[in-house]
Amino acid sequence: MTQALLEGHDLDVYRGERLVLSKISLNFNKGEKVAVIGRNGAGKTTLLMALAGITKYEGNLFYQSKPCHHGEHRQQIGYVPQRSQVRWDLPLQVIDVVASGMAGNPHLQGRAHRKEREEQQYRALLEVGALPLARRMINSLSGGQAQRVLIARSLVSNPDILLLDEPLSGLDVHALDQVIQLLHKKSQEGTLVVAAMHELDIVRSYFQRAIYIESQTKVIDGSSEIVLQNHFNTAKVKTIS
Amino acid sequence: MSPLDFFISPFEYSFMRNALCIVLIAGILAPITGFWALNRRMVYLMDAMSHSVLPGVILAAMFGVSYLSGGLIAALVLTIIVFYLTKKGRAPEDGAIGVGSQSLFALGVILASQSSEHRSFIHILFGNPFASNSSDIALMLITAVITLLLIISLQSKLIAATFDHEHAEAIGVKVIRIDLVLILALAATTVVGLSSVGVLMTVSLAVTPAVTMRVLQISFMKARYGAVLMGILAGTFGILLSYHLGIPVGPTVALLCLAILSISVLYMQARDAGILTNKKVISP
Repeated sequence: MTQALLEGHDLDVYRGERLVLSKISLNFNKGEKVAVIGRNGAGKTTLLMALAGITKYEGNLFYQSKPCHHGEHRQQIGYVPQRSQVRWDLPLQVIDVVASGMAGNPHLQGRAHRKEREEQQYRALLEVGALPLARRMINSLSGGQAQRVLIARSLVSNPDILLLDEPLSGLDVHALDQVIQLLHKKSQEGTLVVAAMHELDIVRSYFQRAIYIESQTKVIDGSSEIVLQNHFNTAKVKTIS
Repeated sequence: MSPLDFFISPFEYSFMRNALCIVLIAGILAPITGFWALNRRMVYLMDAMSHSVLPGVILAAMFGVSYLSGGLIAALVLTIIVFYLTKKGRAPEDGAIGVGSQSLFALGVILASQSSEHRSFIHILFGNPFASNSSDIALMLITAVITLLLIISLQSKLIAATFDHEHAEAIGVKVIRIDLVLILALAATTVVGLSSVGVLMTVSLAVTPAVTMRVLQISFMKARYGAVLMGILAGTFGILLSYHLGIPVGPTVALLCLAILSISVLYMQARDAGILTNKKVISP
């Protein structure tokens, strides 16, 4: 049996002091593409934040079978929040934003690592097809470009888990296709991709697996086709907790 | 008056050379901390800080200890009041900052009324770099260098926290710690500005250059250098005008900063309207 990359057992997840999800158990494997779906306020973002270690949770979370106390697995996770949560008004260049993805890594600070840092920043931009945008001001980016820049920022630390919060919302068809292809490529390279999604037709077509947050205590996990059918009360599903 | 008389002759006096050192130190430090205050949305806190250091500085003067330590302690008291009111009393943050700073300012005014030296109270509020001596300069320089080194060492974390604090937390940046250090840096800036432009006008010297760089749409990395250049220019011309016209330094520097900002706004309007290049620019 393959060892899970990320495992959560009996997780109680909080947003501030409010309990959002209770006794949730989920496993994620390398290279999987997983969509997290549910109504607004169901707890999709909170679940991603718990997996990223930025909101309070109780229970057991393991990265490669090792306990993740106090976010020790953070360097392996690339977290991409909703675009609307970010300060696009600041006079920053794209390369500055990508560089900010390395701020938490103490091994890459200082002048001695400058070249190494720059190489990783440009590699991340190349990977998302945004290299020509490196010196562009962020307030002049389109929605699709901005999304790819945020993904580049998360890729700069070379993570093996990508957590994305509504990465496709507000994108036109062309930009949407670019982001989907990028996530598909990362998944094929072995990166675990977990995305909170509202676009159910895309979930059905491009994600093998879906997690439907039905209520605080009930999460439905299975192949996206089956979970989506169940979402409309038409098929059997595997229920966790 | 020849340019030589305006620019060079005043510096034949040692008090003017001391004043120049003081405004240069404040002119470099204040725009850097002001830049981060603007981008971290802490301008109101900095303004509050400038009011709240007053009792600490006056008590320090009464007991003959360093005004810097008095000012920093008063800033710390403001931080504790704001923290207590917001976390324990569930008061809104801007309300807590307003209440805390005005209360401390009121205490400062009462303490100043009991002080025999009323003139020094005016100097604290509006600055008087001409009265500074070499020990004042040394103390300011040390404080400014430590504060600047602290900010420079935290630069990448400050950018990460400013652009997206949630992501910064996700990659291991302790945003609360970064903000606490920045608050202390703002307090140190206010106290350093005390001798040069006064506590009330330090906010102008700190924030107006950063606002000007935003108006000019200068990128984040270059904006800090531009802000420092503006701070140095405003400070230097401020003491020269103050010397020649016999007007207070702090308000002069504040109005010079405002003049540069106004010219920048007009320049950008002219540029966007195509007056300068015959090409109309549509701002993003």
